[in-house]
Amino acid sequence: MSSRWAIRRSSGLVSVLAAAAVVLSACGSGDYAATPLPTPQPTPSTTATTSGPAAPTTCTPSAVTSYAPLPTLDTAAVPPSIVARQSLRVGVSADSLLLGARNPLTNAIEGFDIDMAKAVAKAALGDENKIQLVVIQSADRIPDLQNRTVDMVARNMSMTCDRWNTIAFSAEYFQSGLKILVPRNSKVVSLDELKGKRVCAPNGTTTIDFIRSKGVEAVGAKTHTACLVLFQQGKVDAIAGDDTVLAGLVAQDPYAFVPKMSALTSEPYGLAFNKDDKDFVRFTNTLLDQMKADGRWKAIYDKWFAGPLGAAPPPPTSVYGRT
Amino acid sequence: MSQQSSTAPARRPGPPTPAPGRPGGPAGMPPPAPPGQLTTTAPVLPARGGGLRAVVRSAFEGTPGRMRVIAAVVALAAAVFGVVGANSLWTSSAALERADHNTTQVVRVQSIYSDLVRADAAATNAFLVGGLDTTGQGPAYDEAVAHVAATVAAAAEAQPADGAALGALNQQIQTYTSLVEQARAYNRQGLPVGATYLTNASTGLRSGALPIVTLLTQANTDRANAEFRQSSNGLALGISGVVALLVLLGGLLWLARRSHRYLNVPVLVAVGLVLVALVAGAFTLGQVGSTVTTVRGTVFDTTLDLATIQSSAYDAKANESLTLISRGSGQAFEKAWQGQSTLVKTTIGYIDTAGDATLSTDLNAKWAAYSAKHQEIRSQDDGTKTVASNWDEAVRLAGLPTSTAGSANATFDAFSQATADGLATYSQQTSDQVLAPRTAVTIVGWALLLLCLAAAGLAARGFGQRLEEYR
Repeated sequence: MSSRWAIRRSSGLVSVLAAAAVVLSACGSGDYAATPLPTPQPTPSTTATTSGPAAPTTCTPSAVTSYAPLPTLDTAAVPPSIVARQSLRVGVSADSLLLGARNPLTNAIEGFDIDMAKAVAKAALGDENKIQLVVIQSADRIPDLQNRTVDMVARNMSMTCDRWNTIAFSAEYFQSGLKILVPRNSKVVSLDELKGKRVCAPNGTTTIDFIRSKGVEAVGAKTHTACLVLFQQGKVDAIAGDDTVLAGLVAQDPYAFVPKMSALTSEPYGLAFNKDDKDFVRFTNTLLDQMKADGRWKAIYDKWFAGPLGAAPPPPTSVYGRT
Repeated sequence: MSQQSSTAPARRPGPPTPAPGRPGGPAGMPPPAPPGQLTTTAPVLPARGGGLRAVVRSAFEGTPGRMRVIAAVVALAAAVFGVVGANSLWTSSAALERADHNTTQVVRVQSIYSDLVRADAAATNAFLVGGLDTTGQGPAYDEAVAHVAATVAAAAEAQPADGAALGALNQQIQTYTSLVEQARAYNRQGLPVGATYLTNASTGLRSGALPIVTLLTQANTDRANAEFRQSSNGLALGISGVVALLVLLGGLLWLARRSHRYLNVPVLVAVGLVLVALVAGAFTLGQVGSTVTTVRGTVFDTTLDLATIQSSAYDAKANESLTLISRGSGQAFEKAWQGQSTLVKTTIGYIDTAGDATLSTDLNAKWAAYSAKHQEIRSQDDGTKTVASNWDEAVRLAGLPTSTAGSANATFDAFSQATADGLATYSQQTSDQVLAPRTAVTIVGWALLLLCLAAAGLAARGFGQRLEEYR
């Protein structure tokens, strides 16, 4: 009797425990914590970096003053490393339409700067194809010259007092000016009207320093074309850049527009070299003077800019006197 | 309190219990007596609650009372062990199944990673060649993206905990694909802004989408490992088993002393049954533990290694194209290629360590073949101090279609095919080996429960025999 009771009692407990076990095993049935998400980081493309403290705008000799040209195009002035390699390494842009841009259909990099660089290669090595185009970004121009990754930079580079401290320039080969690009329906005709608006310019350029000083919200990007992407995505309201560069951007986007305005700054372009390659700079100046005189300069200008900017103006005057 | 209990131990104290077979209420409820008639066998009980208490109290008084208590404890210990032990085994079986789900999800998520970098490698490679796509990389991009979409959907269905992360991933993938589409459209118009869209797409993929996939891989690997640990967790089984055994032995000893008989056969058999159940349960979980250790050390590890190899290899291939697209300033991408290549080779080494020398040798040879082609491309693009670089030749080499034997794309294709085959084989083996012990473990769980219930019954019966002697 009591043994039955004991059994009945224990089997009752068993059923209770069995029920508990079902609950128990259900507890460990893979209810996992949600997979975490990465903590968001600031988008690097929209962080502006400055090229340093405000650079002096006047100096002696002036920023456009270069070394005197050689009497003749003497190839003895070409650095031996270039001759040995039989190739001129030139830092260029691959996405500045009209100046230096990759043609997606042919894969060739072409533009005004490229034709100038080819002219230097032809004069130095006898063949305009003895050239290696190295695609660099604005911020790489000076370091690449200093550590000789490239022999020359032909990448819409403005001659400034500050840059003369670290590198050397040829005589001015193009006169450009800073303007702004806005949406086609915009009424803006000056930078002042963009106060507090987001304006894009490439990092490490004179442009980004300039626009920041004018009270706009400067947004940095790797290149002007990266600025165009931000503009198309509505992440910036305008782009600041040299009229030549902006012409190349307008050519890629029918909704972009450069209003009629006088240039905010004058941007004299020079071909840039390592500071120690003075003789090569003088050699190049000889070539530039010849090209300006014999119509080759005008032919190259018209080839790229006659359409968007009108017929070629007189070539910029070379200024010499630096020693 | 009954005064006789101390002098007459043989007399059964307490109220009567219902007669056998008689339909009665619960113990302690006396049969209803006709009004005015006194029962001769039992005193009139006061209130119902008080009566129950008195009955219970008296049921546990004296030696028979203690015997009942010990009988209950002994039977309960065996039964508890039965339930806890069986539950441990069933939990183990369920954990194995979940571990399999989680490892499958790891492989699935890793395939999202490698499909994304494969898509990027195809997009950048097609872009590099310029003009009309002659390498067949355009369709390869579309195929990879379609595969990603299907896998993300499958992954979201398989693991609800991944839902939010996969949602965020989907958003990133949409951004990526729309940027690539814009890049393609501009590229067809011959506009350089297309290249910038493509670079932005690649950069965004690596900074936005891939980190989410990495977290998904980590979370699912952690879940799989937790389930693997759970599957061989024998703590509850061991403790409850040893306790049951000690209680039974204690009961056996107590009974031997009280009844002056050395052995109570039913209780002794119960001890044997519990011992058998304990040994069988522990042995089974031990087997599961060693299976899991083997799986984790061999096939599962190799599966993860192959997934790493696959995604690193595609990443390297995308970087090869990005280096050329950067045209002279792609050192960062080439550095990334070197890093991925080192990771590929190191990880192939792990496969050798895990025991598959054939596969590791094959993969090493195929990666070396592709690496040699990559070096050819690099030396053409870089040039030397005295030899001019030939970017066009580098691009031609990099853009040769997979159908051109010995080209970079062909050697890479051979490598990725071998990796994909290995991955399919090993993930299947992992699944098979993880799931293999499940049936046996479940059956042992039921056997353990039945053995312990039988032991509980026998123990109760053994004590019941002694209790009979007190009547």
